[in-house]
Amino acid sequence: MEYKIIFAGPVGAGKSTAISTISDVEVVSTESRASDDVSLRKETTTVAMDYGRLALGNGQAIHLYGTPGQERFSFMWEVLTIGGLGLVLLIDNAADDPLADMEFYLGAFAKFIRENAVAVGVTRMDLQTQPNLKQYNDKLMQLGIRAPVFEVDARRRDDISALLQALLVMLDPSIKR
Amino acid sequence: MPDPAEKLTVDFFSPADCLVDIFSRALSYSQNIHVKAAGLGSLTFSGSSRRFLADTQDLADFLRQPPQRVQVSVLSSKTDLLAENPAARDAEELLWQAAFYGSNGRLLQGCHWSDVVQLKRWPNLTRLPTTSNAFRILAIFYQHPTSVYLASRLLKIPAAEVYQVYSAAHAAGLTRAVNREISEPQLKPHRQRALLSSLLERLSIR
Repeated sequence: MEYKIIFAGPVGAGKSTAISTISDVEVVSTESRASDDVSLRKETTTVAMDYGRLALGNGQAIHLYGTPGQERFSFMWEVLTIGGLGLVLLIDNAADDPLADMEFYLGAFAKFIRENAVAVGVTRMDLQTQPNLKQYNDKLMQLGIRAPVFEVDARRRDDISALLQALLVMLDPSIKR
Repeated sequence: MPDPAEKLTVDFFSPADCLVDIFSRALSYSQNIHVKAAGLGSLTFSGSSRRFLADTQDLADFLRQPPQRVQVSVLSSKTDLLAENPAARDAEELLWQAAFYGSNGRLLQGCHWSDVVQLKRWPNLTRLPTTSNAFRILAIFYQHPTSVYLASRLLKIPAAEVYQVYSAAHAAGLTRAVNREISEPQLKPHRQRALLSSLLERLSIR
């Protein structure tokens, strides 16, 4: 049985970076030179998925999958979630409408979230302070979703680790380390 | 239900014994203040925009100072220099930290071990000091509102640690006391509990 955690979110939110920050192995990435409006934001973008791995020391491992951010690859999202333990949703606060982005991705993964859990990480808050975390929480409440929301820098292991820890305790608060 | 015969030792601390009171008052009155601690730097707090900016080498050390060791001056309420300052942080982060360091395993006055606590929303834990079990404590209050006492017992966490996290969350305005009888929440174990525990352990290693 393969156990996995899914990283989702729009283009440029930091999914590939987050996975490489926390993974034990070099991330397998399917990056391709961006050709559409994505090229205005970054040179390359994930077109199939990113893959990383966290070894647990008892022979088991958690597989980390990053979904492609572009909507035209949305047909892959549901397939990638099969067997997933939970979802990490990364949102770029410097995007045009990050709250709408969050709503879109929560909707796209609604069934998976209902059956599992989601933790939201907001990136690039140092560049753009609004919306703030309270506004994200208000939006979640409006959507009827209960989830932790943290400010994250996808390059910082502690930040991604905190998101994952919150995701795990949302799945089962009584787990012990 | 808690066993009434079981005695809980609870030490309390007053918000007036640490810097929580100073910041809470400024927030209540939408006051802008400047707080200075000799040799430790200073901090500007805006009650109107609910933000703060610290100019300290060690914010934790600054926030551990008793109120008599700091100088507070009130700033003009006409201009709020922090409202648009991208380096300023949210006031609730400061209140969390002030209570967290002030607690030292004690419970904030006004809170009680039998309070049925609901966490309204999660604190920004990537930018805040926590205890080793803070995530678990907050998750149970978020998903299964229960008493401080039962949270400690169910999660097998020392009461002092629950007091510290609850005090910080309460001071930051993130909790509400639910007006109902204490009941033990039924925590449904996850189908992969052992795996989740291993992963939690793995993530805790820096």
